[in-house]
Amino acid sequence: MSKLEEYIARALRGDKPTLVYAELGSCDGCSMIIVNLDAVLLDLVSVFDIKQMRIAMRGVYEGPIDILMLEGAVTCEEEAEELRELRKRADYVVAVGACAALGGIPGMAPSFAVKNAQDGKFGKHVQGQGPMAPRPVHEIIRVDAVIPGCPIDTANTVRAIRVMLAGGRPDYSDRPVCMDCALKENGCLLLEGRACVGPVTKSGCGARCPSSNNFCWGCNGLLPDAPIDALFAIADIHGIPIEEVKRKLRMANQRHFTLLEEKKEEK
Amino acid sequence: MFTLKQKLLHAGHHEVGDGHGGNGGEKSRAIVRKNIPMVEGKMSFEIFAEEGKVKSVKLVVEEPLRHFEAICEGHSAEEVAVIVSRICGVCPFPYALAASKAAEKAFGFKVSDQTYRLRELAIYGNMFNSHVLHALDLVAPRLLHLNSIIEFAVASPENTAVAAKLLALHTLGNDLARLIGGREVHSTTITPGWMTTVPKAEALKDVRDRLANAHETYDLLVNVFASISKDANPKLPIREREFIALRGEKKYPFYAGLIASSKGGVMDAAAFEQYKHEYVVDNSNSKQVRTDKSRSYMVGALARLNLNEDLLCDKARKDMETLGLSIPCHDPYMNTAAQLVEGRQVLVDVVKAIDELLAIGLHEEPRPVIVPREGYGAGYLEAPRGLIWHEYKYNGEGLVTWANCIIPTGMNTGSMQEDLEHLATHLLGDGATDETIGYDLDLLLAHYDPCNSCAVHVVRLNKKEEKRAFLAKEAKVAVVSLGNLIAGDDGIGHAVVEEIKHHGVEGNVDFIHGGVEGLTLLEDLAKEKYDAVYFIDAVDGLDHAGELVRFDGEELLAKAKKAGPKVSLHQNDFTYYFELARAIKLELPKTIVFYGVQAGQTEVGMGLTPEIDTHEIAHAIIHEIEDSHGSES
Repeated sequence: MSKLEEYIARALRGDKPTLVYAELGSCDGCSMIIVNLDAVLLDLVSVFDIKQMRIAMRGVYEGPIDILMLEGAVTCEEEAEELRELRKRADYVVAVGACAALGGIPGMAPSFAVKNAQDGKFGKHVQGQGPMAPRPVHEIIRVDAVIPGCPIDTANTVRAIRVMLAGGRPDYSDRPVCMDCALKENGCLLLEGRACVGPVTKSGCGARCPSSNNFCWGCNGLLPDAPIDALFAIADIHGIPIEEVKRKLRMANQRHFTLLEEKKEEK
Repeated sequence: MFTLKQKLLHAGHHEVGDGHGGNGGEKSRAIVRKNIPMVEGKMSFEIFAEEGKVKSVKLVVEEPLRHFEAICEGHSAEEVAVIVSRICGVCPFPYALAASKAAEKAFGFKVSDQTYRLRELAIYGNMFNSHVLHALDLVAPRLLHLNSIIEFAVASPENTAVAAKLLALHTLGNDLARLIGGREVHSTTITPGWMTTVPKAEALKDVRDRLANAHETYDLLVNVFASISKDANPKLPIREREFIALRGEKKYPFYAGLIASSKGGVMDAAAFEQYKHEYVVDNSNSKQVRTDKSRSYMVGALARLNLNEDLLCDKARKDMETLGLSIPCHDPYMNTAAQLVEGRQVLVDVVKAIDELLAIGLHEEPRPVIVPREGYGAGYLEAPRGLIWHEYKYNGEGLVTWANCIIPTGMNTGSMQEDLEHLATHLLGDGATDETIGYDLDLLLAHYDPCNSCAVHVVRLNKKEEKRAFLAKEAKVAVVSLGNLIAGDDGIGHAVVEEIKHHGVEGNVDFIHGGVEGLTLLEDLAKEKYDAVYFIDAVDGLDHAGELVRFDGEELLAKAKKAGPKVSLHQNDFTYYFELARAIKLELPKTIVFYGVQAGQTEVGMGLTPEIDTHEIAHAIIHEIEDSHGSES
């Protein structure tokens, strides 16, 4: 039986697929995108049984989970342990947003700050949490799908939920943000001498920030084999300091580079 | 569906028995609520009592640490606006705006009238959607003993219709926020200096009309809330408290104004900076803040309302009546009602603001040129949950070298703690059951509308802890005297360095007597790879002996080229060596500061002119070193 058939059969019995939305270290901005669906959310609950979502409802659910949506980066051992437990109960796990998918902004935490937290140098904060370098969910547990973005895109999210309901895997094309800028006939920030990491970033957001005349900082994640050197070369030609491009690359994607550096050091 | 009791158990409520084997009549109680739902981020409270007396009350913000201030370091102002927006997804606009305002202040940049007005609109949008969300989605279900707004909505077709109608208000706030901010969560247009995109007039007109026509639906929201909160809010003794919020001149303030305290009067940024004091408490991941006057203070809608009641419109006053709110009001259970009053004020003010903007006419703005400079800037405004304060130090390239963000929930945690203590004592004395106490106090915290994820990015603490915390990346600093010890006041540098050494200074600081060395001294300093070097020397050209002058590296070179006061009294001006060092590509420390003291006499001989106060000069320098290198005053 396909997932869809199974869900339909269950729905007919009044047994809707269960959804748990759990938050790790994050700003709750992705939760807000879902809460902001307002009337659409009321529609969604006719197909899903939302069992847990801290920001919007009371109660902790302990039964089996059909779809587990995870927002936020893993920032401490306590969260990692919770995750492993959740994974055991969950059929399908979705990393929601840049923090869960990439490490995102929390993944920028410099190692000295994390070390100081581990050493308890920030005073006697909550004991026993075991602070760790913030990292994406897939470094701790297996992830079945990703909804990218910081925050997630409203249309992407609704589409992803539909696809998951049909038993599919929401996926995004690996085309660069530049492609969407071109389609929208936006001007190019790089050509104007402004730093932008659109050329090495996956789209799926419709080039959201450049369409607002603001720089792309890579929140959907880097393209596979991202042509970073080419980006530096373009920047250089247009008089943009490479350091500035590097800084912007090291926002949402900092964790990616940290891991690369750690690997290099090991060698 | 849970019954109320199950819900309480579920939320971690439990009771422990007598722990120390006395006679059976004595009882110790523990009322613990873990991971309080329908608030932003993780938060708990614990109350322990023995023989009916409260032993300890603890508010615990458990959201793990988030390191935001450390993350900002090394990033430019426009990047920091993007980064700190991610402190809070519920009220992201004020975060990006506080960071933008701080940078503008530090770089001496004034935004255009249009940008100012658009930012005001952005805040109105974020304020409105956040307040409606809080009242409707988070507090109302709680008051009705429901698990969520969804539970209410799906109960009957009538409920669905009412919920959909009220949720449309939330959507409306989001539509305004999205139109101005590019997106309702994490704006794509708010950045230092300008708004990167200007909305189309037609779109603005459209949302204006929808806002102008929203009053009737808003009446429904106010009436529904008034009816369900009337009896659900417990009647408890009220604690007088200090309120802090912006104070408006002519209109109800969110974006700009002076900072007012119900106890400390009206303050500018510099005065407030001195007035508030941050500290950490055990077993909680949030900073807390006290003031000169109080152990804690409250920010947010109730604080704003108490301090700006005279600026309210008639419609908002009518809502106050409906909601049973009269000023002064120190009851934290009325904070959500105050948010609804503010929501109405926004509905009225936002339409006026859009009309004004449309009358002026919208125009595309070119990207402004902002020239960064080294310095400090604080940016503050009102977020839905209260006053937000960001402060940053920037280097000459405009990159952040130090950041501190004080956010509303950080300010309110102290107030919540004090309320918990006050009310727990009362409730226990009153013989209330654990259920009642748990429910009443959970509701108290919910009314505060806390945002715990925002509150936990502690990295800046008091000096000692801070120093320990930052040892790993502590700057290497040198304090260097210049001058001839046996040429009278030319020995001033030597004397001041001795004074600093004697007093002691926080940080990794070396003391060097440079004498009359030139290039070799600079070579030595370069070899040691100091991050910062402070020179102290005697100078000429100022008004009176003992007068202090301060230049940073760039200014020093500029002075050398112009015929300003002669810098340094040595045969070869010290600035000459600087130019020489640069010419031979000597890697000089990143920060170079030159302190000059006007000499009285420089005849051969030891000892200084009596007018020169080395103590005062030494302290000025100690202050700067401690302020600039990882310490907070």
